[in-house]
Amino acid sequence: MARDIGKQCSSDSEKNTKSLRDKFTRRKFVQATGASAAVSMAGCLGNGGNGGGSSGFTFGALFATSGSVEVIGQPMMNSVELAVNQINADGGINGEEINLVKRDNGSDPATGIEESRSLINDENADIVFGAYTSAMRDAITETFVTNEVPLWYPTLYEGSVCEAIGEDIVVPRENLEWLFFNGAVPKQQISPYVPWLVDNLDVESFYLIGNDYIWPRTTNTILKDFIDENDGEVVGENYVPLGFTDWGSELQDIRDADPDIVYFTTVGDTQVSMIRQAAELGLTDEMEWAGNIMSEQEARAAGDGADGIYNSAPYFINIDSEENDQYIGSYRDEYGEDTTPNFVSEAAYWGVQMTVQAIEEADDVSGPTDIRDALESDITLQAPQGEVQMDPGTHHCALQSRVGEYNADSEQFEIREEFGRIEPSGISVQANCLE
Amino acid sequence: MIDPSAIAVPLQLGQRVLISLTSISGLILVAVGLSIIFGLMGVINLSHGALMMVGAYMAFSVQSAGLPAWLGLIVAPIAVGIIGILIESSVIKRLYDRPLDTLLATWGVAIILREGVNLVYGTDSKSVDALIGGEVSLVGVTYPIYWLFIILAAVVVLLLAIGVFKYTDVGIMAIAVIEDRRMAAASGINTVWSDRLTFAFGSALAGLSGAIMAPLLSVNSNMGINWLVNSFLVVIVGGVGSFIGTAAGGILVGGLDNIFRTLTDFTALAQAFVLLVAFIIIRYRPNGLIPAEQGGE
Repeated sequence: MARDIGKQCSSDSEKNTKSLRDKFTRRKFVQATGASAAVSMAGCLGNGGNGGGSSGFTFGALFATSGSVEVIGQPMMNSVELAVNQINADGGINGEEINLVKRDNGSDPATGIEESRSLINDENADIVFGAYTSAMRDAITETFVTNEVPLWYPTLYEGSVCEAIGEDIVVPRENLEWLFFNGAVPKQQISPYVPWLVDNLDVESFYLIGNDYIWPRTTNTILKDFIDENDGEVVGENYVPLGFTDWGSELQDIRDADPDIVYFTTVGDTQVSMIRQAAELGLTDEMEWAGNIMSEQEARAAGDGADGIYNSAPYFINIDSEENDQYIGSYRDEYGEDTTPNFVSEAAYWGVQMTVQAIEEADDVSGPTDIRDALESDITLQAPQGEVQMDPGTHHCALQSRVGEYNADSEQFEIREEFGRIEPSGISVQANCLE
Repeated sequence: MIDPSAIAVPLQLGQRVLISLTSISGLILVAVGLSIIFGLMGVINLSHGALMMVGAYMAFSVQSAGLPAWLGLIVAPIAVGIIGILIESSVIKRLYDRPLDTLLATWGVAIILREGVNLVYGTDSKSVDALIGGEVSLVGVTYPIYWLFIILAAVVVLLLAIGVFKYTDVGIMAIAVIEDRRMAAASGINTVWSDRLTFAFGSALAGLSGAIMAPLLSVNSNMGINWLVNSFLVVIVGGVGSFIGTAAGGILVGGLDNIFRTLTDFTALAQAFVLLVAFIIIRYRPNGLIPAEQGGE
């Protein structure tokens, strides 16, 4: 970290100045710029002083605890905190406690960028676990890449790493160096799932419905190849805006197309209202419904209508393993019986554990660059979902893959199939991109 | 002999007409409260969506307490009406001559309501069951009873609002206060309570709409934001200060929306067209489709 301090300081105070100019009035601007320049200088000085890491590691957590995706952000924040607390209670890293700094990104990319800078410059974070939406991840990535601090992104997402699927590159090689991923990419959810759906549910015609942004569109592009390969056909496809909840007309389109199965990549409230209204119109009885982004939270909010809906995920909260019992048990002890972890918060939880294990297994780690290097190994861990492994060539993880069917009475997904561990590379993640 | 495929199209059309009517009714139902507070009183009420959201949570509370679901339709307007009285008497009453400031103040109120709900209920989305389950067959089309109930509710709420301001003493006095505050005060009307009750009535209708729409939606603290935007669109396109205008706005916005969505296979694009049409209408009819006759002068 020490090597580029001079360069970082000057470029960062310039960047801070620019973002503040956009945000404040002239008078406030003058005050704030002075203050923030002083703060980032202090950050740099502090950094130089700490040097050898005598005060242990600082982990940052940057999730939404307010704004539109706080419902998801809060369990992720909690899970990072839980993992850090457990590790500290167990002696920390090589005997030193981890210092955790939590920041709210407000579900707002501009706030996310400011908080990222603050975590790096003011708090000297050695690694940051953060972001949920692709928009947030894309907004804050540059801050981490230019400051050479690793960002751990624990969310399922589309992939598009290096030149994996042609020109549409979401994560170019130079960014990948500082990013780590442990959510599922489409391959890990879809490649065994589509053949399973076709065989076990006896379906042939698919209707694809999603929100209109990059994840559903990339997922559906990949999905179509698998549907083709398995002799299925796509009889309709539609995309609705984020936040959309008035489903009548779209559901009638689905009824008219008469598919065997509706594959949905709608998210959040859009997904919940879709299931509720489809159930009222009788469509959840008339055809199968399946997706790969429905957590227990959405399913519960959708009520009885979600009964019998299939979901593919690395993790469900009722997985039977010692690690999962420990995760769920300690989570509920800490944050209340009525709170629900989910597949992204589980990833946030063991992302911290994997980082700590990597630091302990490597020799003499201090600072962000060393952590990045330490994580570039095929480190294996027993996560709540089962065995997972880092793939050093892509900074993505090999994950478990499962199919669950929602049971509205027990409010849980009953696990219908376990596909075992699936590598991230192939399809939307170019193998050995970093080598 | 009747060819079944020949009647398939009219049946689908029947289904689509009903779906569009439910969609339009939802828009009108939620917008009527705003039509009172923004349209009549001139308060730019950005807490309208949050008031609707609180109504949905009232329906959830009633159901989770094991009480009959219809009680939600009574508790929601009463509770949210009381919240309306509190908002008016603490914030809004100081801002009647500063209408633009109501925009910021009510946004602040909305944030307080959203975070308050998060504190009380947690951030997880809630599930609210429909008051009436089941389906009916109408001329060969099967349709959920509850979706018909939404159409009926919109008509009743609209007629109720028109009736109150046209035929009741309280309503006529409220209009008098809004038209000319000093003249009304000079005639012996208690303008303070008239404003307060008008605001509370608009809030109560927002709460009621939340309780009615909740079974179709994901109930959480952010659910009102979309409805806030749509309600302003409906009230402004329809004509500020007129309930018939609000109905016309709902029919135009919801109708065009459903027609475009039916004609294209790309909902996101269809909704952009609706906004384009709304811009054109506002450009050529800045007071909306059916503006209030009495006007402000």
